[in-house]
Amino acid sequence: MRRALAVPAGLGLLLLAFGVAYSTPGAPQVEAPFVVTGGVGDQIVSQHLVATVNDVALAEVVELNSWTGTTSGVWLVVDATVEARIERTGVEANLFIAGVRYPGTNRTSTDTVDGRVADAGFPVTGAILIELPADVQTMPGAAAAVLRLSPGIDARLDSVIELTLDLTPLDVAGRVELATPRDGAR
Amino acid sequence: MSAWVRRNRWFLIALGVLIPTAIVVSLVPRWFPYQEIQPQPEAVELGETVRYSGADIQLTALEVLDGAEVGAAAGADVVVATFAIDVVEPPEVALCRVHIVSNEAGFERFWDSELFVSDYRVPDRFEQTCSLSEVGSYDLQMTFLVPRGEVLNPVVELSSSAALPRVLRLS
Repeated sequence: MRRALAVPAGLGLLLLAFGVAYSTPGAPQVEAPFVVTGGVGDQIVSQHLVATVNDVALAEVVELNSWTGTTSGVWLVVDATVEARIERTGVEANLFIAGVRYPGTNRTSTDTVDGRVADAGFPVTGAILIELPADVQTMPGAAAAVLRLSPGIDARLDSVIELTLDLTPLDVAGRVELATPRDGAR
Repeated sequence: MSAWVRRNRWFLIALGVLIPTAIVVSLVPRWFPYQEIQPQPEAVELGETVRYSGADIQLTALEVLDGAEVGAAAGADVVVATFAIDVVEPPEVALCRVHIVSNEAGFERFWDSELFVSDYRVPDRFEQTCSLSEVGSYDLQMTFLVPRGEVLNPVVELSSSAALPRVLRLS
């Protein structure tokens, strides 16, 4: 009886070993950031940042200070209020559409709320600009794009803020005039 | 079931001992060294002199200036910290850092020093950067921007790379 059980038990254990091997999390899962989620208008608090996304829009051309931002694609214009929670920290913005990362533009120097440092208790309100393909609204994943705000480019095992944005119903404005970041909330 | 437990009691007891032991042993190479390098704050009173990183350090004054009165940025007050520092035995390399710390929000927050943050001007007789790498005494004054009305009892944290994990908390 015991001998008869040995073979199926051995095979079962072998299958279990394969299952364990294939279900073991890889680096992307082990090193995934700790995500705090929220929606437009919510004040979202992560370990490092406190952020409120006030508004989201698409535009063909943006004007910021004396800079005119043209693109062969389209701009995602995010109006946001961001401050550090504990200590001075960087603010990085990235949009993920179906796993593809689109970073906040660095073409505007420090005239956006990302790409600069934030201090604890000092909210700054302004724009985040992300250049996207012209056909972004018809791309797979455009209805569930993820905007991530993090303290640095490398977000592995770090605390980040994420908002899911539906880009498909947004109107594309021709030209949008933006203000440089200002102190305080909206 | 009770017969099974009785038959295997020594194995179960061994598991009960070995599993926690294995967890502690696995923590030894990482957790305990991690804890040892965490900053170890040492409280120092205003006016008290303490030997730190080869220097005698004294916080001689610490005040919060109303940001509106000194023309600070909107929503900010200015903290002015003044030190008397006498570097006696400087280490080869000592990176000195000074922060304001406040737990008045319910958790600790930190602010770095800022130059030209308001109409307040540091008098010429003061140094404005902390240095612990050359023998000599000097007076140091640093200014910090903090959120208006949110930091009433600031604490100055002074650290030297040569003396870590020990850090001074002066107030």
